[in-house]
Amino acid sequence: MKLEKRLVLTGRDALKISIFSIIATLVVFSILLIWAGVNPIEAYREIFSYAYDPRFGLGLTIRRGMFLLFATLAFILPLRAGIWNVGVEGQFYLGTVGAFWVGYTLSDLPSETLIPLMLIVGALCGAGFGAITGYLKGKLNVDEIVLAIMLNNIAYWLIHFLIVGGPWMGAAESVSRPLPVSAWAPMIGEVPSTTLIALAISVFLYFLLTKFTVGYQIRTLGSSSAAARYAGMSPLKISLFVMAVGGAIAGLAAYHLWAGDPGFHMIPKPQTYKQQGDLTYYGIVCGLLCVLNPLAAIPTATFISGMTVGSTALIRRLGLGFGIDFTLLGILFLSLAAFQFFYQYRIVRRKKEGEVI
Amino acid sequence: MWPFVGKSLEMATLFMFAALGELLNQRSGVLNVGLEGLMLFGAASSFITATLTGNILLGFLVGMSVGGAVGFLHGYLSITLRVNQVVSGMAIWILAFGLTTYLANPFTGPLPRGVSSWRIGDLLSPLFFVGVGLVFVIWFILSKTHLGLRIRAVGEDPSVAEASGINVVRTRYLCVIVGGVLGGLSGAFLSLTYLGSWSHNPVAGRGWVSLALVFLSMWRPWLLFAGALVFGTIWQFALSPEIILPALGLPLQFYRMIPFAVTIVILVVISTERFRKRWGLAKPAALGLPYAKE
Amino acid sequence: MSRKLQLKGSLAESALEGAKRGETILEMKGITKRFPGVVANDHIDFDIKGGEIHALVGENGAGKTTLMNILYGLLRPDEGEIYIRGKKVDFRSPLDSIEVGIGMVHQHRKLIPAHSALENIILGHPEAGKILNLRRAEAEVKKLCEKYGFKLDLNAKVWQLSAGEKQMVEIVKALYRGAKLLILDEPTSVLTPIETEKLMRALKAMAEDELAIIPFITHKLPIVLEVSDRVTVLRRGKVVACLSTKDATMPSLARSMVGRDVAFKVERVEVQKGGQILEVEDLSALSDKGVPALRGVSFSVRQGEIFGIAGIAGNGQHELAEVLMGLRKVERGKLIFEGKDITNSSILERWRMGIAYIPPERVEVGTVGDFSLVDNLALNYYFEPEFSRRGILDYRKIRERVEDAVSEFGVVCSSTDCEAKTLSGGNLQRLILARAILRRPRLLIANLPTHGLDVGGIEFVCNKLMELKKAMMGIVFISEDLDEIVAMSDRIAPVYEGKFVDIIPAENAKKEDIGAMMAGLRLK
Repeated sequence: MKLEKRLVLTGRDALKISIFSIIATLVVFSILLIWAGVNPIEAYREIFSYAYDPRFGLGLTIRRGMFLLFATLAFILPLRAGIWNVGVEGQFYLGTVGAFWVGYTLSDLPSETLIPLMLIVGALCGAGFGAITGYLKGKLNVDEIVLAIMLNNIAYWLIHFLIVGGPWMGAAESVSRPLPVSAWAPMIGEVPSTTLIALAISVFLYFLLTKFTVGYQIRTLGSSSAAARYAGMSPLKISLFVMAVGGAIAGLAAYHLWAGDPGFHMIPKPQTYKQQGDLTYYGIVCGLLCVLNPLAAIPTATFISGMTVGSTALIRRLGLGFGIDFTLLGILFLSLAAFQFFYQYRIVRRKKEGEVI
Repeated sequence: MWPFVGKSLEMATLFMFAALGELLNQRSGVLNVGLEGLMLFGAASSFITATLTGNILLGFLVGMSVGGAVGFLHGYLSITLRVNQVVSGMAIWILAFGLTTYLANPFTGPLPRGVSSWRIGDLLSPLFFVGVGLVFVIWFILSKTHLGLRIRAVGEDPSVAEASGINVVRTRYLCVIVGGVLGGLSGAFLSLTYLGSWSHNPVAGRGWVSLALVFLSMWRPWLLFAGALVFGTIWQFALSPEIILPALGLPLQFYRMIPFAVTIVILVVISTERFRKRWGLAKPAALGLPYAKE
Repeated sequence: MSRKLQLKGSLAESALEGAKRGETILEMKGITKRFPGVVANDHIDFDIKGGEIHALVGENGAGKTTLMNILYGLLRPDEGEIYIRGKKVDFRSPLDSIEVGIGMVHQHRKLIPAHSALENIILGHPEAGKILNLRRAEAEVKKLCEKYGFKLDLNAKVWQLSAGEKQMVEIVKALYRGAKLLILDEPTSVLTPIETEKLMRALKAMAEDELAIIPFITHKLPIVLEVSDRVTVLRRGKVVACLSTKDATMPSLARSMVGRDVAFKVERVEVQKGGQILEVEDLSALSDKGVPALRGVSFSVRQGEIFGIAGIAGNGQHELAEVLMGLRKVERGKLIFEGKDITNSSILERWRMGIAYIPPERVEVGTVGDFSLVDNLALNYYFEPEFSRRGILDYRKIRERVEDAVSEFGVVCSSTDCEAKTLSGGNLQRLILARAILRRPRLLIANLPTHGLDVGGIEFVCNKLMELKKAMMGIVFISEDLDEIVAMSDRIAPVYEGKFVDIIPAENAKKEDIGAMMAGLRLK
């Protein structure tokens, strides 16, 4: 068995690598579980049964799966152009601000007008926030990762200001006022109809990247910025575009989450809304797992969502500590990072003349 | 007033250790964006150790060792497996976030009684001076020793360095491990000295600011020191603005935003036409690029 | 972190120190190296004696670089042995060969641009000590430079040095490490004639000093004849001739290299020139490092004319090409195309207007390696209404165009969906040419269009350009090859240090004159 440099990476190869990294994750996580005194098989059974059982977690799995889908798509599009959008958290917060502002100020409007407006304004706010990064990256080549993290923190404090003793403060000191009922997302069973928006965007992005001229420019910039310039493309315009659209998608996620989850319908206390904001980082892992393919993001996001929802069962039912779910994500991320090695190399079996291996 | 100065210098020490470590591994060409995670690992491991053993020195040592191990892990992914360094760094951050929360959550709260960090005159930890000394040491090594020349060569063009007889892999591992140790030290300093207690996600973005600091300092140790002092003061100000500006009456969240906003402004300024060329020339040319021996 | 070389007994004894003139210090026997799909070195024998200059010549792809890398320890041979002064050696890394006394001067300089010349020279030297004693090192290096007549500012940053000075740094670096055998990879390819003279003198001085030197050369065969004692010719990985230089002639060498007479055959076409298509007034631009690279250049190009710019790399012609296309900012001056001022037009506008650019960087700029040929072709068509309607790419039309490109321009590939990175350099160039030319531009800027191509490829490109000239296209033709420039151009502008030394009609041009002008000498 030898290591050989890989010439071509097909979709099937990438799928195999992703699956192997998931398996490796489960193995490593099992070690952690054993160390915590839990039987891994029992733990995984708990996870899957809780996550996909309609009586318990299935609704949340799907709702959160779509939330993750938004986050994943918001990450995928810019990375196709070579830009790491780690600012999804901040864009999501800005989407929250935009949607809630509409929900509070224009609460008299009927649902048919109010909800689309909330979606649009939320998307615009997210887009604007993303555009800041897109502009600075495209124009001045500022490091987009550090910039975005800084913006995420600023956005966090913005919401904090609005709800903790601020103008949107609700009944309790550190939560917001509830949204008017007209602003609640129409549900299909336990699942908000914004699910359809997420799925539609996924399909749209797929066609955008493969068939549209803009998508071609995005792909070119992502593969070779020198060639893109040579061909007359504008790195600034493309950066702005992908980051604005990415930000818009993240902004939509805000309405989906807060107005679509029956447990919320308002902005919860900082610790909780930060928790939800942290979920957007799963988008990065999902995006890498599905190799930046918008359609593959759908099953990937749902799967990862199931893992996170299921792992709360570990906390709830098996008494494991707080943070175990993020640990699982971290192991998955690390495993995926390590397995990226196989994007460059593959294992071959060599048989030499007269030699048996 | 003096407690404010003391705290600012301690905050600067925090930035110094983390940023110096990152400066070192970046000079050798390895980018570690998971600095925030590295500091988390250091903070959690040292705090747990100190709480369980009652020995603060041991806490520091464990924090540094764990940091070195994490540095090694990042090195293995980046140098040997040659995977994307941004992915590796972010993975370490996310893992740190989850794992440290999970392991350290039961220890939330202050250090046990009798276990505390020693301060000079109850104001300033002596580690500040260690930090300053470290700035000198790193500066000296990088500019005046052959080891430093080799490190810089590896960060500029590893194939040239290799052809000159330098072991690129070993040099990078050395730098990334030392960087890890310093990052772990920074985290340990945070939880054991500056805060003296544990809460959820104590690093709060300071690892990212340290990363920005390295860029802003143009990889020069003394500029980094100056930057650390400035950022330390700004951050401390953001936490307790009433000490400097008593009656301005702005909401506290506004102050909390300041360090991040300042970082952005400086990042943008050094990217403008005027500074870009100087910054571009100072940047290790091979930063973030995997190296494969042919 | 240089490792301590585990000197096996045999290696230590075979160090080149103390080798005498005439003593065989290096023997390579039966060296064979295979890469996927090609045998780069095929049972090569080679030897060199102390104080001898033994040149190795061959075309691109003949196997010289591979052989050199094996000798220098960067590659291990699949078969064959290397003997140093009679003792067999096995180089596992450049450290081993450096230790033994072999020094290599690379074509693509292996220097660190951000560091000073002195820092580059002492890098990795085992005796440099833990703490850098720069003053002592500087004194030692200065002495070395004086010995062979190298004039260098040791404290200048390498990116500030000229090509010739960079080469000097590399040579001094090898000598400082105690090299007794110097391998030079294409030493004269980027030198001005004056610098070449200086180098030849230095090489002769080093040979007098009992150093052995192996220069590896593709063109500039006259230099081989002038300076070497022996010459070995490689072709397709095999040694085809090894003779004493006195017995060799230019034509015989050239014939051995290619297997046929190297005659640069181009059907020259004479055309009635049309109107003025491009006018350049006092153009100035900066290099990537921010220093002036183009210092006030003025010229014009007419329809049906090939305007040749001759220069050695680094004299501003690259910046000029980029400015013409909009890839580089204009510091001063004006650009007028078909009567319109395009000085500040965007790159996209220039493509649309009918200007096309063939970049020298085929892999990094001209194509996208991961894209298929189809997607690569779209680089010059995605903005045309015919190929992109209502924001959607018409892949059918693009595919049609690719088929045209492949058939008319002879691009060899298994299918139009295979990725560009699987194509050879020559085929990539055909694709790039096809893509640009099928747009029917009215002005074509060809920057080093034949660089790195084999003779067949060069002939194809040049004949294509002649066709375009017949079709009344205006062509700006940049080349480092004097034969090409003289054969192809209607008017020639030698460029030196960012200025045109003169603009002369090709009929009267003599190669030697142009060569001299490329070195800055003005002739009237």
